[in-house]
Amino acid sequence: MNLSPAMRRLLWKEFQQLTPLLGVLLVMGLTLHLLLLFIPGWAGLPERFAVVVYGLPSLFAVGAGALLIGQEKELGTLCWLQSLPIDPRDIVRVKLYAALLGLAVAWSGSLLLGLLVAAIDPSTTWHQLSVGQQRWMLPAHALFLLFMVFTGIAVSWHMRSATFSLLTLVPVSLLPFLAANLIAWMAEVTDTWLPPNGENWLSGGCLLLATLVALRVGWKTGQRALSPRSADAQWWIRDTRLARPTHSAMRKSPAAPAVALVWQFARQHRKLLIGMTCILIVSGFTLGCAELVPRGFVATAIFATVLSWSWLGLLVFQGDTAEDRCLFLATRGVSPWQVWSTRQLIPCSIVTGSLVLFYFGLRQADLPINTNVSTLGTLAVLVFFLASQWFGQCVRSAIVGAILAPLVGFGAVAYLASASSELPAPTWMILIAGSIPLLATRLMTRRWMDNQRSWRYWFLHSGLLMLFLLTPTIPFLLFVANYPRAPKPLMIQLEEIAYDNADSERKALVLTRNRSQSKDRQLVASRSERLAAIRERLRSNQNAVPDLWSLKFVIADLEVRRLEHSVDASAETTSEYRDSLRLLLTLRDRLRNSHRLLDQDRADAVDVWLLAVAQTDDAVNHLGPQLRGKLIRKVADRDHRYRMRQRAIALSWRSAEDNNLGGYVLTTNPLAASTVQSRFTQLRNNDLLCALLLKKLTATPADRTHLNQRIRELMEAVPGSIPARKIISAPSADPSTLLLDELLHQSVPGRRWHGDWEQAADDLASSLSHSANLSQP
Amino acid sequence: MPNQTDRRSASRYQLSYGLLLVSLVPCAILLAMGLAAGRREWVASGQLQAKLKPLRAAGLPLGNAALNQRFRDVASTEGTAAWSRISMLCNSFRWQTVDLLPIVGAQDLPAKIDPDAPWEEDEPVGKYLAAIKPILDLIHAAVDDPKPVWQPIEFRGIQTDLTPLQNARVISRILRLEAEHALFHRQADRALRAIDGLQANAAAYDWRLFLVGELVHLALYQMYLDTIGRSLSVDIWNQDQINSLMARLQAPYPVTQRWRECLATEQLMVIATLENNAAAIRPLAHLMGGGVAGRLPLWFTPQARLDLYNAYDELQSLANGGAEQLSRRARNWDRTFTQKAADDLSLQGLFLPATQQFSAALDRASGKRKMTHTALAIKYFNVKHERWPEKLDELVQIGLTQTDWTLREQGPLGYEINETDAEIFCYSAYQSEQQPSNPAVIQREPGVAYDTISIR
Repeated sequence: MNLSPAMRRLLWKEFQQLTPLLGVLLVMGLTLHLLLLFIPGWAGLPERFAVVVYGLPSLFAVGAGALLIGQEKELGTLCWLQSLPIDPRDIVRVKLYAALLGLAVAWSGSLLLGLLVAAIDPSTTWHQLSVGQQRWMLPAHALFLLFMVFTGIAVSWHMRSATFSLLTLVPVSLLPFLAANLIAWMAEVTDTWLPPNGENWLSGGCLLLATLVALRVGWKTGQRALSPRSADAQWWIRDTRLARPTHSAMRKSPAAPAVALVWQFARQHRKLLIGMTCILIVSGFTLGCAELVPRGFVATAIFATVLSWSWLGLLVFQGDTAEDRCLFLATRGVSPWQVWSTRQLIPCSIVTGSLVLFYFGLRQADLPINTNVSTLGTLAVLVFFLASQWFGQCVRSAIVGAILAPLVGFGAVAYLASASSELPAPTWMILIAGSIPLLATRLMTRRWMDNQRSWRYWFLHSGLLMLFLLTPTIPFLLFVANYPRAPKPLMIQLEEIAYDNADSERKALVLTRNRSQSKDRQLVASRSERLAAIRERLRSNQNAVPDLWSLKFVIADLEVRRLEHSVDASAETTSEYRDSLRLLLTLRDRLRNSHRLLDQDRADAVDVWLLAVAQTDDAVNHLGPQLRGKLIRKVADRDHRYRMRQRAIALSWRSAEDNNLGGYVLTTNPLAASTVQSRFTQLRNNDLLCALLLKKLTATPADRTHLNQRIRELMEAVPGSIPARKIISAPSADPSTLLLDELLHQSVPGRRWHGDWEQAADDLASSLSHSANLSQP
Repeated sequence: MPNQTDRRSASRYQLSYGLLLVSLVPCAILLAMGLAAGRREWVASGQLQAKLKPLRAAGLPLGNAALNQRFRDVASTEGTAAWSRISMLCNSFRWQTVDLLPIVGAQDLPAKIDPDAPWEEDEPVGKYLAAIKPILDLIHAAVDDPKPVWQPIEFRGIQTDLTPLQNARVISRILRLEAEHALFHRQADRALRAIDGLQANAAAYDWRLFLVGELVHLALYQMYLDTIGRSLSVDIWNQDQINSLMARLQAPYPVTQRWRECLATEQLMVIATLENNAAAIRPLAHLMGGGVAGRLPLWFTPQARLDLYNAYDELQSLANGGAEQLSRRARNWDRTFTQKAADDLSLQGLFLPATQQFSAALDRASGKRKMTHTALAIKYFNVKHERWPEKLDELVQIGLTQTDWTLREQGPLGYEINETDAEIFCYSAYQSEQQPSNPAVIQREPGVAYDTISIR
């Protein structure tokens, strides 16, 4: 590229025209990347960044032509450019160079942002980010970008206004793909053989051909437009409607103000309105005939419909922002209310009509449309339309507006949808938030008509935006503010206990059943073999804590042996019984020394069962005095039990996960832990539960009833709701310690703390030491 | 006479108003739709509260509390400790080779009990049953406890933990294995004791609460009937024992009563869930087919709740026409509902239980009772008259009526006399690859599966 200094300056001037769009796109890309990076639950989808990496240059390619040519036509600077002593070919060439340079900057900026994300996020590689597994992705996208830039330029040379050229670009840009689709469809209909990936090659070929054609057409049209021309070619100088469109429309319109304004709006935007209505009608019918048309047509129809909704929203105010037409109305004393309502009317009617057509089209296409989906869809489209309107009132540039309005609309809908499902905000609050764009446009109409762009204007818009963003979060924020907190001193105490026991903290290895599928594995063929297997696994790992199945089996074995013993009280059966009991004592010790809350409660259950055994009339006979004494001393060791419980509370609290507190699952439905509100309540409930349990350890009998009730409420609390606000309470089942099946079923932590069994164990231990004293000489 | 400019102006004026009107119509329609939807929800909310008002006014508990009270009313706590112990021992006292045994493990049972042929599993089954003999004795000791038996259940709507109920299946399996082993060894008293245990277990867990409870009870009840049916393939019962068994199966199965009770409890449970757990259900709705819409609040509108409540009322009223056509009515209702749900997937689709399958299960249990009762009557006839009845009509002589051997959907049971035994049979709807040519008349056809009771 060998350019003279004048040409270089011209290139610089052209490039300067593109810089606002480039800046907006790069800032938006960075914001989107950051948002995608920190959205919880999306970490496993590294390809999510590809949308931004590939999307940003595409948006630039769409707007480049309109900015370089369309905007200059509207501002009249193209006329000035033409008056310079420069060869028209040079001007066209420089505009092409500027577009390509801008594209290169957008592309490399987007790639750099992607690389930055890959560097920040260790789980995302450049390969994943660029969808590297699709080898054709990069070249196909590059070709598509070139096609869009050249087509945009060619269309802009042809069209009068920038907005209209953008509108025209949509159907034109789809032509090569539709052509490829049509050829593939015809091949399918006529049974013509296509090679593997034939459709991709067809699309690529059509795109390449269309790119060359667009380049050629753009080049020729540009030269023709700038060359010495006939009077017809200088339309943008003499077109009175473009120069003073409102004046012209008003002059011809009837007298009634509201009707006149509707009439003026319709006249002023008739081409755009007719164009978008046609797009919507064609799209609706395409969807209705989805089975008959090629696959790509349906996707195109949906895309075009969504884009039209957004642009109709944009048109409501953007159409009058161009060339300060709104100021024209303001200076003639037209009421803002009339302007606001009459601007809404026609686009709103077209959107409503298209919704009906779209609904029937989708139903015809056999897509799952029911009342819920259609109601939600309608609300989503309205929010999309209103957000686009609001955006149209804020931005001055039609091109930037046309490019970003669909994104803004999507953003608004996505935000409200996620607020509804994640926070979850109530329906009425979502409806209020959804209508804020409407309120905002109404409130700001006067300032918009007066063409105010002061800090106050932007401050008000920012305030309304904050209101829109904050409204759905208000119930959640109030919920957070009202949700009970664990007392600070108790939390500090928990911290201290956890710190003091940091050395003893270890991961408990739960002793599970051996479910290996190896053919060589010897099956456990009897009760004694299973007992031996449990002993062996305990011996081989000093940190192993028994699982519930092993614990239940050992207790069941002891129960059965006891029943057998009542029939056959031989020395052999007695010895076997005592062996099993010793094993149970070992299991009990492992549970008691564990740092998990659940194991502490299981240890309590075993203690209750052991105590019942030790209290039976013939306990001395079938246990033997030594084993019975050992058993009672273990069960009655209050100090050790207190220390272990205290430690378990603190360490379980420290290692608590969302819904797992020391082995307890706080909610029986793990699906419920998916909203922000439910995650918050689970974390807060963990704190509250641990604080209450710590308090219960030293609580007086009078306080315990209240604490037990509160702990039970927290365990039953539905994630995402405040436990005390439950409408219908479920009376708890009787926590009987006499029911064997119930004994080992743990649903509430600390349920058996300070139970009567503890006192009974103390009494038994006292009587044991008393009788030991008596037996001593 | 108006000039040309005036005419053009007037026509533009009319056109402008036309344009204004045309533009206003869709907006007005949209507004009207929104208002209508809002009014619909308002009215639905009022109607739902009106339906619950009598319950609230009477001070009756709703939701989980209602379930808790209902359970306390129908069940006895006298046998709670014994059955809790039995449940824990039956479910926990097992080792790996138990999984390889029939009924309690993965091994198949022989098609018929034949004491004269060797049975490969005889020895391991015998060893296992010897090891659990104290548990079997416990069950027999608890047979006379009042039933159903209360167990500590914490009701939490659809999230209620029903492990004790599900564990009851293992008790029945063990008892059925005991009965099989006893029949193989021709030990009539031991087999009868096991059958007593099976009956007691089915009754102990007959909580008449919600669908899961009903299905578990039906499974236990059918295991009990199956065991009696299989016992007839061994000629061990005397006349008194047959009489005793027949007396137990004399009463018809209360299909309509169970249908109403079950759905009324389900209705209460769903109210509890909707009142307490709406936030927790949203992700469930999302997974159960609601898609993104399922996560949004439209599924839980007053109208959706009212529709769900009304659907339960409708289902309960299906029993008003009697048990005869209940299964068919439930099928028709389900078909209509499915068609409706295809257009409007909602809360009902998420919560309504598989009512068609439930009515079919009730029908199957009722049919199985008739079949087992008829088989016992045939055996009784044989013992009394020392010959097989030529036709089922001859059973009238021992007090049976035609309805006793006629199934609701299939008609009179099939009956055949062979060289060594007699057989009664009906179509096995869920095992057959080929459908019978005339489902309303039971007859032998190649390729069709049958449920058969062989009587010796």
